[in-house]
Amino acid sequence: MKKQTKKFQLDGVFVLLLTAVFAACLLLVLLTGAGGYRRLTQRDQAAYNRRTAVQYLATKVRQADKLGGVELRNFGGEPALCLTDTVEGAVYETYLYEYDGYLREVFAAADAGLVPEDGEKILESDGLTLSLTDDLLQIETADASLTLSLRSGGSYEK
Amino acid sequence: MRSKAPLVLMEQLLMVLVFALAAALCLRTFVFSEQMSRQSESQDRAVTTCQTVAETLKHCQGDYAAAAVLTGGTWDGHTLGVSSGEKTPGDYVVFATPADTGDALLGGAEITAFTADGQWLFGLSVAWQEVEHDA
Repeated sequence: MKKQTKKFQLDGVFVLLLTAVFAACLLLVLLTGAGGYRRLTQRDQAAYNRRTAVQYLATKVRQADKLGGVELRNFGGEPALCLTDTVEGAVYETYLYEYDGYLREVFAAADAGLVPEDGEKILESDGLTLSLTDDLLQIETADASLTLSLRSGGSYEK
Repeated sequence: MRSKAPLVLMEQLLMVLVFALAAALCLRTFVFSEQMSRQSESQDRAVTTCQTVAETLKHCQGDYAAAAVLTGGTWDGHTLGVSSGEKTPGDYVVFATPADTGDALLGGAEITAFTADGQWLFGLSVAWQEVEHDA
């Protein structure tokens, strides 16, 4: 009788053990999947932030690329890309710059006297640097860089 | 009274087998999705680098040696090569090779990006107007 009881106990323990192993494996698969999905979404979000900022600036520059239309200026102490356009005889300027952790844009008349705080937030941005050398505009953020050749500028001498 | 433990045990084993099969498929999918995500990230960076190379070649009007200096790449007389940069070293390489546009006044190049193991990532064509300079 004791032997039979012991056998029942051993069988039961083995079944419970197997159930525990199954539960542990299930948890492991769930955690692996969740971790993989988290990494995937983080990577995709970082790629979106990286790509969108430089491509937005590139598109704005290409739209405004005409003689004297693209300049680098100091806007309220911040380095900014200044895109100039003339509408019905009036000169308007679009400033693209980084301020307070955001890529910002402000469009106003040339003598509007705006300040960096007035700009509309476009994207979160960190470490935006702009340089314009010999009609080659270099846009750099913390994670990406893009070079644009201004068609409207001077010619390149070989 | 016969013990039902062996029957339960068999059911449990069958359940674990089915779960193991499903888990193997899921893990395979997770690994594949991770690879695709990394490739997508490399492709995203490669597109930006290809654009930079294209714009630099346009600016230099086909002067590959000067473009190599500006992009930090190398020019061996046939192909301009630009690596993926300091932030993602060895991730991909961009190659720019001169292309015949069939027009003497139109210069062109084919720009392609490959991963470290030779897989094609992205490609684009670029052309620029050749300006004749007085001697």
